[in-house]
Amino acid sequence: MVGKKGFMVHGKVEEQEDKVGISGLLVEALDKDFKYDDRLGSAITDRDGKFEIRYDERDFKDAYLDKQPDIFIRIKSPDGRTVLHTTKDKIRYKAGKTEEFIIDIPKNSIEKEDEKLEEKRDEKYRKRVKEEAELKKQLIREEVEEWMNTLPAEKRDEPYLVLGADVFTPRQLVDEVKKDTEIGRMVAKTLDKGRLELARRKR
Amino acid sequence: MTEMEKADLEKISYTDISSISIHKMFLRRKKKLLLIRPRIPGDGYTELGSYDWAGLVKQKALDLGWEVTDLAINDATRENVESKINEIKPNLIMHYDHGGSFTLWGQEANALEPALDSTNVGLLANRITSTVSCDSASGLGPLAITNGATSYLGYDEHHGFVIGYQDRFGEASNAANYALLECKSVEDAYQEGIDAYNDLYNDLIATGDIFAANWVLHDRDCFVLLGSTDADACPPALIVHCRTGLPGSIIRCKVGLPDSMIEIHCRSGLPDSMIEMECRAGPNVIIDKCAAGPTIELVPERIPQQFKKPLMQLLDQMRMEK
Repeated sequence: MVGKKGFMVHGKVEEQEDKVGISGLLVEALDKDFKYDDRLGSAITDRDGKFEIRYDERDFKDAYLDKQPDIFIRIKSPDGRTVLHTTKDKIRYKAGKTEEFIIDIPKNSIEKEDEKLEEKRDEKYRKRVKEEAELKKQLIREEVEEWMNTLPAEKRDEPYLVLGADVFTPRQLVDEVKKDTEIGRMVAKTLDKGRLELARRKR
Repeated sequence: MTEMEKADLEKISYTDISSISIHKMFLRRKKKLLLIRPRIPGDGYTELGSYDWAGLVKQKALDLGWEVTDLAINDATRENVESKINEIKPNLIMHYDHGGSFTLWGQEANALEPALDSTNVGLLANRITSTVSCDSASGLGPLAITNGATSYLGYDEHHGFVIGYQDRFGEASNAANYALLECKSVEDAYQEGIDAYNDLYNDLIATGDIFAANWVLHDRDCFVLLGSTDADACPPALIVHCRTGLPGSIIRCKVGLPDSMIEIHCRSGLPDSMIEMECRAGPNVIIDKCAAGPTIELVPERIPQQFKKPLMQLLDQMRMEK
Protein backbone atom coordinates (compact mmCIF):
# COMPACT_ATOMS: atom_id res chain seq x y z
CA MET A 1 0.00 0.00 0.00
CA VAL A 2 1.25 3.46 -0.87
CA GLY A 3 1.03 5.86 2.09
CA LYS A 4 1.25 9.65 2.33
CA LYS A 5 4.20 9.58 0.00
CA GLY A 6 2.34 8.24 -2.97
CA PHE A 7 5.29 6.78 -4.92
CA MET A 8 7.37 3.73 -4.12
CA VAL A 9 10.42 1.93 -5.42
CA HIS A 10 11.06 -1.48 -3.93
CA GLY A 11 12.97 -4.60 -4.73
CA LYS A 12 15.91 -6.73 -3.81
CA VAL A 13 19.67 -6.63 -4.15
CA GLU A 14 21.14 -10.08 -4.54
CA GLU A 15 24.33 -11.88 -5.39
CA GLN A 16 24.46 -12.54 -9.08
CA GLU A 17 25.77 -16.09 -8.72
CA ASP A 18 23.41 -17.65 -6.21
CA LYS A 19 20.63 -15.07 -5.81
CA VAL A 20 21.18 -14.67 -2.11
CA GLY A 21 19.97 -11.29 -0.83
CA ILE A 22 22.69 -8.87 0.35
CA SER A 23 21.98 -6.99 3.54
CA GLY A 24 23.28 -3.63 4.74
CA LEU A 25 23.78 -1.90 1.38
CA LEU A 26 22.70 1.66 0.73
CA VAL A 27 20.13 1.88 -2.09
CA GLU A 28 19.34 5.24 -3.63
CA ALA A 29 16.50 5.95 -6.05
CA LEU A 30 17.16 8.84 -8.46
CA ASP A 31 15.20 10.75 -11.04
CA LYS A 32 17.24 11.29 -14.19
CA ASP A 33 17.03 14.92 -15.25
CA PHE A 34 18.50 16.98 -18.01
CA LYS A 35 20.87 18.81 -15.77
CA TYR A 36 20.90 17.47 -12.20
CA ASP A 37 19.49 14.14 -11.11
CA ASP A 38 17.01 14.33 -8.21
CA ARG A 39 17.52 12.04 -5.27
CA LEU A 40 14.12 10.54 -4.55
CA GLY A 41 15.08 8.72 -1.40
CA SER A 42 17.25 5.97 0.03
CA ALA A 43 17.08 2.84 2.16
CA ILE A 44 19.32 0.14 3.60
CA THR A 45 18.72 -3.41 2.40
CA ASP A 46 17.30 -5.71 5.07
CA ARG A 47 18.66 -9.14 5.98
CA ASP A 48 17.05 -10.61 2.86
CA GLY A 49 18.49 -7.87 0.66
CA LYS A 50 15.10 -6.21 0.25
CA PHE A 51 14.52 -2.47 0.21
CA GLU A 52 11.66 -0.02 -0.05
CA ILE A 53 11.91 3.73 -0.84
CA ARG A 54 8.91 6.04 -0.68
CA TYR A 55 8.74 9.46 -2.26
CA ASP A 56 6.21 11.96 -3.58
CA GLU A 57 5.83 14.39 -6.46
CA ARG A 58 7.78 17.15 -4.79
CA ASP A 59 10.84 14.94 -4.87
CA PHE A 60 11.04 14.85 -8.65
CA LYS A 61 9.02 17.83 -10.00
CA ASP A 62 11.27 20.67 -11.09
CA ALA A 63 11.53 23.47 -13.59
CA TYR A 64 11.05 21.06 -16.43
CA LEU A 65 7.71 20.09 -14.91
CA ASP A 66 8.23 16.37 -14.83
CA LYS A 67 4.93 14.61 -14.46
CA GLN A 68 6.45 11.18 -14.01
CA PRO A 69 9.95 10.41 -12.86
CA ASP A 70 12.63 8.70 -14.94
CA ILE A 71 14.04 6.37 -12.37
CA PHE A 72 17.34 4.61 -11.91
CA ILE A 73 18.89 2.94 -8.85
CA ARG A 74 22.33 3.34 -7.36
CA ILE A 75 23.75 0.80 -4.91
CA LYS A 76 26.45 1.95 -2.55
CA SER A 77 28.65 0.40 0.13
CA PRO A 78 27.23 0.65 3.68
CA ASP A 79 29.31 3.76 4.41
CA GLY A 80 27.97 5.37 1.25
CA ARG A 81 31.41 6.08 -0.13
CA THR A 82 31.67 3.53 -2.92
CA VAL A 83 29.21 2.97 -5.73
CA LEU A 84 28.89 -0.76 -6.26
CA HIS A 85 26.30 -0.75 -8.99
CA THR A 86 23.98 1.58 -10.94
CA THR A 87 21.08 1.05 -13.35
CA LYS A 88 21.72 4.39 -15.03
CA ASP A 89 22.12 2.53 -18.31
CA LYS A 90 18.58 1.14 -17.96
CA ILE A 91 16.53 4.12 -16.87
CA ARG A 92 12.85 3.48 -16.38
CA TYR A 93 11.29 6.44 -18.15
CA LYS A 94 7.92 7.70 -16.99
CA ALA A 95 7.94 5.33 -14.08
CA GLY A 96 4.71 4.27 -12.43
CA LYS A 97 3.72 4.94 -8.83
CA THR A 98 5.29 1.63 -7.83
CA GLU A 99 8.36 0.19 -9.45
CA GLU A 100 10.18 -3.00 -8.59
CA PHE A 101 13.91 -3.52 -9.11
CA ILE A 102 15.72 -6.84 -8.74
CA ILE A 103 19.40 -6.01 -8.91
CA ASP A 104 22.16 -8.60 -9.26
CA ILE A 105 25.65 -7.72 -8.13
CA PRO A 106 28.69 -9.97 -8.68
CA LYS A 107 29.82 -11.54 -5.43
CA ASN A 108 33.47 -10.51 -5.77
CA SER A 109 32.64 -6.82 -5.98
CA ILE A 110 30.95 -7.08 -2.57
CA GLU A 111 33.83 -9.10 -1.08
CA LYS A 112 36.39 -6.61 -2.32
CA GLU A 113 34.38 -3.85 -0.79
CA ASP A 114 34.12 -5.77 2.50
CA GLU A 115 37.89 -6.20 2.54
CA LYS A 116 38.43 -2.52 1.93
CA LEU A 117 36.05 -1.68 4.75
CA GLU A 118 37.74 -4.15 7.04
CA GLU A 119 41.13 -2.65 6.26
CA LYS A 120 39.80 0.81 6.99
CA ARG A 121 38.31 -0.37 10.26
CA ASP A 122 41.56 -2.12 11.21
CA GLU A 123 43.57 0.95 10.39
CA LYS A 124 41.23 3.08 12.48
CA TYR A 125 41.37 0.56 15.31
CA ARG A 126 45.16 0.33 15.23
CA LYS A 127 45.40 4.09 15.28
CA ARG A 128 43.10 4.27 18.27
CA VAL A 129 44.97 1.53 20.11
CA LYS A 130 48.25 3.32 19.46
CA GLU A 131 46.83 6.58 20.74
CA GLU A 132 45.46 4.88 23.84
CA ALA A 133 48.78 3.12 24.49
CA GLU A 134 50.62 6.42 24.23
CA LEU A 135 48.15 8.05 26.59
CA LYS A 136 48.50 5.17 29.03
CA LYS A 137 52.28 5.42 28.96
CA GLN A 138 52.02 9.12 29.65
CA LEU A 139 49.73 8.50 32.63
CA ILE A 140 52.08 5.84 34.00
CA ARG A 141 55.08 8.16 33.62
CA GLU A 142 53.16 10.78 35.58
CA GLU A 143 52.07 8.29 38.21
CA VAL A 144 55.59 6.94 38.81
CA GLU A 145 57.05 10.42 38.88
CA GLU A 146 54.35 11.49 41.32
CA TRP A 147 55.18 8.50 43.52
CA MET A 148 58.89 9.36 43.47
CA ASN A 149 58.11 12.91 44.45
CA THR A 150 56.33 11.71 47.57
CA LEU A 151 59.63 10.20 48.78
CA PRO A 152 62.13 12.29 50.72
CA ALA A 153 64.70 13.73 48.31
CA GLU A 154 67.56 11.67 49.75
CA LYS A 155 65.64 8.41 49.25
CA ARG A 156 65.15 8.95 45.53
CA ASP A 157 68.69 7.87 44.71
CA GLU A 158 68.96 5.07 47.24
CA PRO A 159 68.46 1.41 46.27
CA TYR A 160 64.76 0.65 46.40
CA LEU A 161 63.83 -2.39 44.34
CA VAL A 162 65.77 -5.63 43.83
CA LEU A 163 64.57 -7.36 40.71
CA GLY A 164 66.56 -10.42 39.77
CA ALA A 165 70.19 -9.40 39.40
CA ASP A 166 69.42 -5.68 39.26
CA VAL A 167 68.85 -3.06 41.93
CA PHE A 168 66.96 0.13 41.11
CA THR A 169 66.61 3.46 42.84
CA PRO A 170 63.26 5.24 42.55
CA ARG A 171 64.79 7.68 40.06
CA GLN A 172 66.09 4.81 37.94
CA LEU A 173 62.64 3.24 37.93
CA VAL A 174 61.18 6.50 36.66
CA ASP A 175 63.84 6.52 33.91
CA GLU A 176 63.06 2.94 32.97
CA VAL A 177 59.41 3.85 32.60
CA LYS A 178 60.24 6.94 30.55
CA LYS A 179 62.49 4.92 28.26
CA ASP A 180 59.84 2.22 28.00
CA THR A 181 62.36 -0.55 28.76
CA GLU A 182 61.45 -4.09 29.81
CA ILE A 183 61.74 -3.07 33.46
CA GLY A 184 59.72 0.08 32.75
CA ARG A 185 56.96 -2.01 31.23
CA MET A 186 57.11 -4.31 34.25
CA VAL A 187 56.60 -1.30 36.51
CA ALA A 188 53.61 -0.30 34.39
CA LYS A 189 52.25 -3.83 34.64
CA THR A 190 52.50 -3.84 38.43
CA LEU A 191 50.65 -0.53 38.58
CA ASP A 192 47.87 -2.00 36.44
CA LYS A 193 47.83 -5.08 38.63
CA GLY A 194 47.54 -2.94 41.74
CA ARG A 195 44.68 -0.92 40.32
CA LEU A 196 42.82 -4.05 39.33
CA GLU A 197 43.37 -5.66 42.73
CA LEU A 198 42.06 -2.60 44.55
CA ALA A 199 39.04 -2.40 42.24
CA ARG A 200 38.35 -6.09 42.77
CA ARG A 201 38.48 -5.67 46.52
CA LYS A 202 36.15 -2.67 46.47
CA ARG A 203 33.54 -4.80 44.74
CA MET B 1 58.08 -35.42 73.48
CA THR B 2 57.17 -32.94 70.74
CA GLU B 3 53.65 -32.50 69.44
CA MET B 4 54.63 -34.21 66.25
CA GLU B 5 56.08 -37.17 68.07
CA LYS B 6 52.91 -37.44 70.10
CA ALA B 7 50.93 -37.46 66.90
CA ASP B 8 53.10 -40.25 65.62
CA LEU B 9 52.63 -42.46 68.62
CA GLU B 10 49.33 -43.98 69.44
CA LYS B 11 48.84 -46.49 72.21
CA ILE B 12 46.49 -49.30 71.47
CA SER B 13 44.93 -51.16 74.37
CA TYR B 14 44.71 -54.87 74.17
CA THR B 15 42.98 -55.52 77.45
CA ASP B 16 42.72 -59.25 77.02
CA ILE B 17 46.44 -59.74 76.72
CA SER B 18 47.66 -58.65 80.08
CA SER B 19 51.32 -59.28 79.56
CA ILE B 20 51.69 -57.37 76.32
CA SER B 21 51.17 -53.72 75.58
CA ILE B 22 51.38 -52.39 72.09
CA HIS B 23 52.19 -48.91 70.87
CA LYS B 24 51.27 -48.18 67.32
CA MET B 25 53.82 -45.91 65.71
CA PHE B 26 53.90 -44.18 62.38
CA LEU B 27 57.43 -44.52 61.24
CA ARG B 28 58.90 -42.15 58.72
CA ARG B 29 61.97 -42.64 56.62
CA LYS B 30 64.58 -39.93 56.86
CA LYS B 31 63.45 -36.66 55.34
CA LYS B 32 66.29 -35.25 53.29
CA LEU B 33 66.57 -31.70 52.12
CA LEU B 34 69.18 -30.32 49.76
CA LEU B 35 69.47 -26.58 50.17
CA ILE B 36 71.29 -24.51 47.55
CA ARG B 37 71.93 -20.94 48.64
CA PRO B 38 74.68 -18.89 47.02
CA ARG B 39 75.67 -15.50 48.29
CA ILE B 40 77.67 -13.50 45.82
CA PRO B 41 79.62 -10.45 46.95
CA GLY B 42 78.02 -7.25 45.69
CA ASP B 43 74.85 -9.00 44.55
CA GLY B 44 71.76 -7.39 46.07
CA TYR B 45 69.41 -10.31 45.59
CA THR B 46 71.52 -12.90 47.44
CA GLU B 47 73.13 -10.55 49.94
CA LEU B 48 70.04 -8.67 51.01
CA GLY B 49 67.44 -11.35 50.57
CA SER B 50 67.66 -14.91 49.37
CA TYR B 51 70.65 -16.18 51.37
CA ASP B 52 69.18 -15.19 54.71
CA TRP B 53 65.71 -16.37 53.74
CA ALA B 54 67.23 -19.77 52.99
CA GLY B 55 68.87 -19.71 56.43
CA LEU B 56 65.44 -19.46 58.03
CA VAL B 57 64.23 -22.39 55.99
CA LYS B 58 67.25 -24.41 57.04
CA GLN B 59 66.53 -23.79 60.72
CA LYS B 60 62.90 -24.74 60.25
CA ALA B 61 63.94 -27.94 58.49
CA LEU B 62 66.31 -28.91 61.30
CA ASP B 63 63.61 -28.18 63.89
CA LEU B 64 61.28 -30.51 62.05
CA GLY B 65 63.81 -33.34 61.95
CA TRP B 66 64.99 -32.99 58.37
CA GLU B 67 68.47 -34.08 57.45
CA VAL B 68 69.76 -30.95 55.72
CA THR B 69 72.59 -30.81 53.22
CA ASP B 70 73.44 -27.14 52.95
CA LEU B 71 75.30 -26.05 49.84
CA ALA B 72 75.94 -22.47 50.83
CA ILE B 73 77.95 -19.72 49.16
CA ASN B 74 80.95 -21.23 47.29
CA ASP B 75 79.83 -24.76 48.12
CA ALA B 76 76.89 -24.28 45.79
CA THR B 77 78.87 -25.43 42.77
CA ARG B 78 77.40 -27.42 39.94
CA GLU B 79 79.68 -30.31 40.82
CA ASN B 80 78.52 -30.36 44.44
CA VAL B 81 74.88 -30.01 43.48
CA GLU B 82 75.10 -32.95 41.11
CA SER B 83 77.10 -35.16 43.46
CA LYS B 84 74.96 -34.42 46.51
CA ILE B 85 71.74 -35.19 44.66
CA ASN B 86 73.20 -38.52 43.57
CA GLU B 87 74.67 -39.26 46.96
CA ILE B 88 72.00 -38.27 49.47
CA LYS B 89 68.98 -38.64 47.19
CA PRO B 90 67.04 -35.76 48.72
CA ASN B 91 63.25 -35.83 48.81
CA LEU B 92 63.21 -32.10 48.50
CA ILE B 93 65.47 -29.58 46.79
CA MET B 94 65.24 -25.92 47.70
CA HIS B 95 67.13 -23.30 45.74
CA TYR B 96 67.55 -19.63 46.66
CA ASP B 97 69.45 -17.60 44.09
CA HIS B 98 69.18 -16.22 40.60
CA GLY B 99 67.29 -18.08 37.96
CA GLY B 100 66.83 -17.92 34.23
CA SER B 101 64.28 -19.51 31.94
CA PHE B 102 66.30 -22.72 31.80
CA THR B 103 68.80 -22.25 34.61
CA LEU B 104 69.03 -22.37 38.37
CA TRP B 105 72.29 -20.67 39.22
CA GLY B 106 74.85 -21.79 41.76
CA GLN B 107 78.16 -20.30 42.76
CA GLU B 108 81.81 -21.10 42.31
CA ALA B 109 84.68 -18.87 43.44
CA ASN B 110 82.30 -15.98 44.15
CA ALA B 111 80.84 -16.05 40.65
CA LEU B 112 77.58 -17.36 39.28
CA GLU B 113 77.69 -20.83 37.81
CA PRO B 114 74.75 -22.78 36.36
CA ALA B 115 73.92 -25.43 38.93
CA LEU B 116 70.92 -27.00 37.25
CA ASP B 117 69.89 -26.56 33.65
CA SER B 118 68.49 -28.49 30.74
CA THR B 119 71.50 -30.82 30.59
CA ASN B 120 71.18 -32.14 34.15
CA VAL B 121 67.49 -31.51 34.77
CA GLY B 122 66.99 -35.28 35.05
CA LEU B 123 68.48 -35.05 38.55
CA LEU B 124 65.18 -33.53 39.67
CA ALA B 125 63.27 -36.69 38.73
CA ASN B 126 61.10 -38.18 41.48
CA ARG B 127 61.72 -35.18 43.74
CA ILE B 128 60.01 -31.97 44.65
CA THR B 129 61.96 -28.84 43.78
CA SER B 130 61.12 -25.40 45.06
CA THR B 131 63.06 -22.35 43.99
CA VAL B 132 62.95 -18.73 45.03
CA SER B 133 64.50 -17.15 41.95
CA CYS B 134 63.55 -15.57 38.65
CA ASP B 135 61.95 -17.06 35.56
CA SER B 136 62.79 -20.77 35.82
CA ALA B 137 59.18 -21.90 36.11
CA SER B 138 58.71 -20.71 32.54
CA GLY B 139 61.25 -23.14 31.08
CA LEU B 140 63.26 -25.36 33.38
CA GLY B 141 60.21 -26.16 35.53
CA PRO B 142 58.10 -27.61 32.70
CA LEU B 143 61.21 -29.40 31.38
CA ALA B 144 61.82 -30.90 34.83
CA ILE B 145 58.26 -32.20 34.94
CA THR B 146 58.57 -33.81 31.51
CA ASN B 147 61.81 -35.38 32.79
CA GLY B 148 60.06 -37.01 35.71
CA ALA B 149 60.20 -34.40 38.49
CA THR B 150 57.31 -34.85 40.90
CA SER B 151 56.50 -31.16 41.36
CA TYR B 152 58.16 -27.82 40.75
CA LEU B 153 57.42 -24.60 42.59
CA GLY B 154 58.96 -21.42 41.24
CA TYR B 155 58.45 -18.10 39.49
CA ASP B 156 57.83 -17.64 35.80
CA GLU B 157 58.92 -13.99 35.69
CA HIS B 158 61.44 -11.88 37.60
CA HIS B 159 61.22 -12.32 41.34
CA GLY B 160 61.84 -9.19 43.34
CA PHE B 161 61.56 -7.41 46.65
CA VAL B 162 61.46 -3.92 47.98
CA ILE B 163 64.41 -2.90 50.14
CA GLY B 164 63.26 -2.12 53.64
CA TYR B 165 60.64 -4.86 53.41
CA GLN B 166 63.02 -7.69 52.53
CA ASP B 167 62.21 -9.64 55.69
CA ARG B 168 58.51 -9.47 54.89
CA PHE B 169 59.07 -10.48 51.28
CA GLY B 170 61.26 -13.29 52.60
CA GLU B 171 58.49 -14.55 54.88
CA ALA B 172 56.10 -14.64 51.94
CA SER B 173 58.64 -16.36 49.70
CA ASN B 174 59.37 -18.92 52.42
CA ALA B 175 55.76 -19.71 53.30
CA ALA B 176 55.33 -22.43 50.70
CA ASN B 177 58.67 -23.98 51.64
CA TYR B 178 57.75 -24.07 55.32
CA ALA B 179 54.58 -25.92 54.39
CA LEU B 180 56.56 -28.42 52.31
CA LEU B 181 58.82 -29.05 55.30
CA GLU B 182 55.69 -29.69 57.36
CA CYS B 183 54.83 -32.48 54.92
CA LYS B 184 51.85 -30.62 53.49
CA SER B 185 50.85 -31.36 49.92
CA VAL B 186 52.43 -29.28 47.20
CA GLU B 187 49.06 -27.73 46.45
CA ASP B 188 48.55 -26.71 50.08
CA ALA B 189 52.10 -25.36 50.19
CA TYR B 190 51.49 -23.34 47.05
CA GLN B 191 48.28 -21.96 48.53
CA GLU B 192 50.08 -21.01 51.74
CA GLY B 193 52.57 -19.12 49.59
CA ILE B 194 49.78 -17.26 47.82
CA ASP B 195 48.06 -16.54 51.15
CA ALA B 196 51.31 -15.17 52.58
CA TYR B 197 51.66 -12.81 49.62
CA ASN B 198 48.06 -11.70 50.08
CA ASP B 199 48.68 -11.05 53.79
CA LEU B 200 51.76 -9.00 53.01
CA TYR B 201 49.85 -7.08 50.33
CA ASN B 202 47.09 -6.28 52.84
CA ASP B 203 49.62 -5.11 55.41
CA LEU B 204 51.38 -2.82 52.96
CA ILE B 205 48.11 -1.41 51.66
CA ALA B 206 47.11 -0.72 55.27
CA THR B 207 50.31 1.28 55.75
CA GLY B 208 49.57 3.20 52.55
CA ASP B 209 52.63 1.96 50.66
CA ILE B 210 50.76 1.02 47.51
CA PHE B 211 53.83 1.08 45.30
CA ALA B 212 55.58 -1.55 47.41
CA ALA B 213 52.33 -3.53 47.71
CA ASN B 214 52.13 -3.73 43.92
CA TRP B 215 55.44 -5.61 43.83
CA VAL B 216 53.97 -8.17 46.21
CA LEU B 217 51.24 -8.77 43.64
CA HIS B 218 53.90 -9.11 40.99
CA ASP B 219 55.66 -11.88 42.94
CA ARG B 220 52.39 -13.54 43.87
CA ASP B 221 51.19 -13.68 40.30
CA CYS B 222 54.36 -15.15 38.87
CA PHE B 223 54.56 -17.84 41.56
CA VAL B 224 53.53 -21.13 39.95
CA LEU B 225 53.10 -24.78 40.77
CA LEU B 226 53.92 -27.39 38.14
CA GLY B 227 53.48 -31.15 38.18
CA SER B 228 51.74 -33.18 40.85
CA THR B 229 49.58 -31.18 43.24
CA ASP B 230 48.86 -33.84 45.82
CA ALA B 231 52.42 -35.05 46.36
CA ASP B 232 54.26 -34.12 49.54
CA ALA B 233 57.97 -33.96 50.25
CA CYS B 234 57.98 -36.45 53.10
CA PRO B 235 58.53 -40.15 52.51
CA PRO B 236 55.55 -42.36 53.28
CA ALA B 237 55.04 -43.53 56.85
CA LEU B 238 55.36 -47.11 57.96
CA ILE B 239 53.15 -48.35 60.72
CA VAL B 240 55.01 -50.23 63.43
CA HIS B 241 53.91 -51.73 66.67
CA CYS B 242 56.31 -51.48 69.56
CA ARG B 243 55.52 -53.96 72.24
CA THR B 244 56.59 -54.92 75.66
CA GLY B 245 56.59 -58.33 77.19
CA LEU B 246 58.01 -60.26 74.28
CA PRO B 247 61.57 -61.43 73.89
CA GLY B 248 63.63 -60.14 70.97
CA SER B 249 64.89 -61.76 67.78
CA ILE B 250 61.54 -62.82 66.45
CA ILE B 251 61.50 -60.61 63.43
CA ARG B 252 63.79 -60.20 60.48
CA CYS B 253 64.24 -57.81 57.67
CA LYS B 254 62.95 -58.94 54.31
CA VAL B 255 65.47 -59.26 51.53
CA GLY B 256 65.90 -56.34 49.16
CA LEU B 257 65.20 -53.45 51.49
CA PRO B 258 68.07 -51.20 52.41
CA ASP B 259 68.58 -51.20 56.15
CA SER B 260 69.30 -47.51 56.29
CA MET B 261 65.80 -46.66 55.17
CA ILE B 262 64.29 -47.45 58.52
CA GLU B 263 64.86 -45.81 61.86
CA ILE B 264 62.77 -46.79 64.81
CA HIS B 265 62.54 -45.13 68.14
CA CYS B 266 60.54 -46.87 70.83
CA ARG B 267 59.84 -44.22 73.35
CA SER B 268 58.54 -43.53 76.80
CA GLY B 269 56.93 -46.35 78.64
CA LEU B 270 58.76 -49.02 76.72
CA PRO B 271 61.62 -51.00 78.16
CA ASP B 272 64.13 -49.97 75.57
CA SER B 273 63.13 -46.38 75.36
CA MET B 274 65.32 -45.32 72.44
CA ILE B 275 66.13 -48.08 70.04
CA GLU B 276 67.75 -47.53 66.67
CA MET B 277 66.72 -50.57 64.78
CA GLU B 278 67.92 -50.14 61.21
CA CYS B 279 65.75 -52.99 60.10
CA ARG B 280 67.38 -55.68 62.12
CA ALA B 281 65.52 -57.98 64.39
CA GLY B 282 65.18 -55.95 67.54
CA PRO B 283 63.70 -56.86 70.86
CA ASN B 284 60.77 -54.50 70.97
CA VAL B 285 59.53 -53.79 67.50
CA ILE B 286 57.14 -55.34 65.04
CA ILE B 287 56.82 -53.58 61.77
CA ASP B 288 53.33 -54.04 60.52
CA LYS B 289 53.60 -52.88 56.95
CA CYS B 290 54.85 -50.21 54.67
CA ALA B 291 53.28 -48.83 51.56
CA ALA B 292 54.89 -51.41 49.32
CA GLY B 293 54.04 -54.40 51.50
CA PRO B 294 55.52 -56.04 54.58
CA THR B 295 58.98 -54.74 55.32
CA ILE B 296 59.72 -57.07 58.18
CA GLU B 297 58.19 -60.41 58.82
CA LEU B 298 57.79 -62.55 61.88
CA VAL B 299 59.96 -65.61 62.18
CA PRO B 300 57.58 -68.11 63.75
CA GLU B 301 60.26 -70.60 64.75
CA ARG B 302 61.93 -67.93 66.83
CA ILE B 303 58.82 -67.10 68.82
CA PRO B 304 58.99 -68.78 72.21
CA GLN B 305 56.17 -71.23 72.75
CA GLN B 306 54.61 -69.33 75.64
CA PHE B 307 54.25 -66.18 73.49
CA LYS B 308 53.02 -67.75 70.30
CA LYS B 309 49.36 -67.77 71.20
CA PRO B 310 49.06 -64.23 72.56
CA LEU B 311 51.17 -62.90 69.72
CA MET B 312 49.07 -64.60 67.07
CA GLN B 313 45.92 -63.31 68.76
CA LEU B 314 47.44 -59.89 68.75
CA LEU B 315 48.30 -60.01 65.07
CA ASP B 316 44.81 -61.29 64.23
CA GLN B 317 43.38 -58.39 66.13
CA MET B 318 45.63 -55.97 64.29
CA ARG B 319 44.62 -57.48 60.96
CA MET B 320 40.94 -57.11 61.89
CA GLU B 321 41.49 -53.50 62.79
CA LYS B 322 42.87 -52.84 59.36
